[in-house]
Amino acid sequence: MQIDTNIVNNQVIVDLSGGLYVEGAEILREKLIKYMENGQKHFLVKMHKVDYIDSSGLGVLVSVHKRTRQCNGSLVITGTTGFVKELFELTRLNKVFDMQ
Amino acid sequence: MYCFSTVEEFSQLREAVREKLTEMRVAGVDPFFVAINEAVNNAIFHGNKQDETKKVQLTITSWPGEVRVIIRDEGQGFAPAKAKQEEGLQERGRGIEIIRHCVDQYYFSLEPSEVVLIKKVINLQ
Repeated sequence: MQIDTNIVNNQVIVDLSGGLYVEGAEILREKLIKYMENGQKHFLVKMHKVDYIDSSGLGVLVSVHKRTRQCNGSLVITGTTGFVKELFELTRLNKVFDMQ
Repeated sequence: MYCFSTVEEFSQLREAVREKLTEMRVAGVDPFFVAINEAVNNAIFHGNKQDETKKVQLTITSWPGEVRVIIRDEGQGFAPAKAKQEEGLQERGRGIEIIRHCVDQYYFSLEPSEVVLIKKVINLQ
């Protein structure tokens, strides 16, 4: 899993590529929480290059989503495709997240 | 049979497992692969409680018309009836739901502590 981040107009752009397995999910969690501790509260997660996710990755996104809501921030997810998109639908998280 | 104790060890085996499923003409390799990863994560984190002296065994077997994957840990077993379906903003608890949707059949055993995941194969006739 590759996790590239940069800040554009006060929004953290998170560009993911590869498979988001349990070990990568923890690295993603730590990265995003560090941004939140530094005052960032708006996130855009690009997932068009992600070819695998499971409950560990979904759980991290839920966790960050909850924290952003608590501080009036936002988490937007874009570009899910194929079976990754199906898993968001299967778990009904497509109704929870702002997915574009 | 594949044998490992940690996620890091299993990460070295994932591609071989996926290739094996493809070779065995599993109908729907992607969902089956997700179910296997979910079950392996459960075995490492909940079954063996990340005790690196304990092993997880993953066995892939071919049966008439289907492939069975057995994931066995050294824990106390898992009773799926106790697993509640989580909704909305719960961070954990989606693994069993994902497994249920990604396989044709599955069952848990308490002794030994294992889960069996079953998926049909592509019929070439």
